[in-house]
Amino acid sequence: MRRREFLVSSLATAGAIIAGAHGLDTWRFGHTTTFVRPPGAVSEPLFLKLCIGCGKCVEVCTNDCVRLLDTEATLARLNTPVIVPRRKGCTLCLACTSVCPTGALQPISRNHDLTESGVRMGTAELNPSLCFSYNRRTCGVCYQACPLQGKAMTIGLFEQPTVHPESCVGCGLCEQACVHLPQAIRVRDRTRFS
Amino acid sequence: MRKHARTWTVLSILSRVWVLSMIALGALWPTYLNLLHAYNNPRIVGLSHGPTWERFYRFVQRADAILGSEHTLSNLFFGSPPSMTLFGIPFIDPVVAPSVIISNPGGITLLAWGLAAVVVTVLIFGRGFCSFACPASLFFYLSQRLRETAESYFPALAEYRRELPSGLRYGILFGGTVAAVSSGVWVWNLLLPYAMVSTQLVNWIIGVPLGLSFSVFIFVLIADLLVFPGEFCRAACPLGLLLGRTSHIAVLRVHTERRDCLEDCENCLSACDLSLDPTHGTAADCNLCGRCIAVCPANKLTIRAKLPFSKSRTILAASVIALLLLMPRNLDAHHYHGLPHYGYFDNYPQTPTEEFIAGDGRWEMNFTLYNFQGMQREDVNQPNDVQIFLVIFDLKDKSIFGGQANIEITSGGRLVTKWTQMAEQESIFLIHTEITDPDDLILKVTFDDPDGRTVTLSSSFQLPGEGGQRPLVWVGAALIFLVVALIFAGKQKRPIRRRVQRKEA
Repeated sequence: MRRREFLVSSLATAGAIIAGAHGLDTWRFGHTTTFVRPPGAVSEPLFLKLCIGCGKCVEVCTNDCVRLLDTEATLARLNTPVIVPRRKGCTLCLACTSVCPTGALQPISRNHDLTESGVRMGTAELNPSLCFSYNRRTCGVCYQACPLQGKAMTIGLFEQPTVHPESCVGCGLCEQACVHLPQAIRVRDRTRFS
Repeated sequence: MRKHARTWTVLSILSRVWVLSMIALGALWPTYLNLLHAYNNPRIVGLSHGPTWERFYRFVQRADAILGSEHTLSNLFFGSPPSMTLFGIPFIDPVVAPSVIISNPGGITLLAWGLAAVVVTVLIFGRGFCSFACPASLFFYLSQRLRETAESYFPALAEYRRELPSGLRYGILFGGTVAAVSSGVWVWNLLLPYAMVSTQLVNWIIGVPLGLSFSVFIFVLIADLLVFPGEFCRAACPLGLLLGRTSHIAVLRVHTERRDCLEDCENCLSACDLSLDPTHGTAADCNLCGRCIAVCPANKLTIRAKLPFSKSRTILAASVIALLLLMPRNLDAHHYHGLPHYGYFDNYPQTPTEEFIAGDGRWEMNFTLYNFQGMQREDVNQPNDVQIFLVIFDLKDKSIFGGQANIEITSGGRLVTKWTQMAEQESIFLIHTEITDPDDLILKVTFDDPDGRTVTLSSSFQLPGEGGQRPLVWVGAALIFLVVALIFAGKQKRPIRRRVQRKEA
């Protein structure tokens, strides 16, 4: 081993990745991207620090809703798990929280009352201007999909849904089920807007 | 050739194939559980999902029955290799461990078990991981055999080989750790070949598009085949560096009887993929692939268990006992709660879409690329047609913007289209345009909000079907540049090994 080779190659490796991460993140994403992490996730900066990308939460998910990010989000988030509610919402089996080896996903035991279990993935936000039920057509699909009917979401005349953010766990089943395009109900990462 | 000379080689190939299939099985495990809880009967699985799934179901059912409990099978290989739970023991890759410990000091207790297991494994097998477990090395092995065949037809090809600088792997290990700690990036998926292979295999099975690490691995594989035969395992892999340092004192070693070694034979030298010399006992970095054993005309080479220290038997026994004591209870991983309706939510009429969000705090732009009723972009008659639904959402008033907006689409800095539009029905801006030769697409919206402020929102986007790979050209290019630069940095050539002539002699 030569000292020059060592220095050149370590500088090149570290430099390429750090520059790539920085460049990619600022150039492509800015500050705008938001993610729904699996249930039990700690706050985003801590999550990025703790997550070692082992993918156990992906392999344990029988619902196939947890997946590892490639580089379509920032490079800093490479190989971290997310739930894309548009693709598939979380059925709240909470299996992923029990397998995380580093505590990036805190273990949650499943109670009968899900809101008391401490699942806080995000909040569903309804956009009444898009929702069919608020536009003289009855739908109610999101209410049918909601696992916390009556708590996180109530339904009124003409199946008009109302979201109660204090009880909503952000599982995203409503967003997955929404038949309107673009989705009239969307799950937003709780950390971003709270 | 001796009768069982190729045993080690065959074993190593089978073992690596087995590892690959176990990783695939790990990825398919949730599917099996779904089928189990929905049908619980292979025949109904076959009727609903086709004969392939029926066969899969029967296979896993049988394997599971042999192992006992319903959920033991998944604990054989659980997680992706750098931090895998293997037979119930949480392993941690020694390359990954430093950066994980630095960024996550709380996890040391967990890592200690894994590292102890790794250390014991290394003391017994040396670099045996590389030829018996590493899924990436299987591909490198195959590319070597391919190259060998090509060289036997075109002997001139043997001249085309360059050497990677020996400092490279130290640099990758150190630089990767620095990058992992300083930028928080999970870099090992881009630097550890077996992590690339296994993660991409899992991704492919669960239906996530192949990403950057796949391209990096393919690039490295091609470079290995064409320019640097066998060099990446030897001179670039940081894991090989850590495991291989102690190969020559490990328990399992290549044993050489040097008496009567044929003069000028050197078959074993030319057979070794890692350019080691087995004639003086095992060198550091030996990965026990057994190829030298197979080619030795005098049958002087064997792999034998040799204990490194005088009291080593005691030490070995102690370490095995320690390993057994440290082995934690199997993770209670798969307490499965069941899905009430298998595939129920899949039945809603959904159209695959890509959504892009941009915002400035108060206003949020959300646009959706529309694929006609779930058809792939490749199948549409006019593939360059793009339909975009754009909604501007007011986060403060929880309403959507219904006024006039200027919309602009640029591709790689070039203006594609630009127009002014009132929001249409349901306050959606409907854009139907043709985008040819897409390159770094950016959609920019400018409008005056009710407060009289001019708001500009912009977001880059991709057309569906292009995966997540297109904007990664720069990162990929940086890595490629690194490799190419190092090719020319390491100018010294390895002595050319003329396999064909030696075999005749």
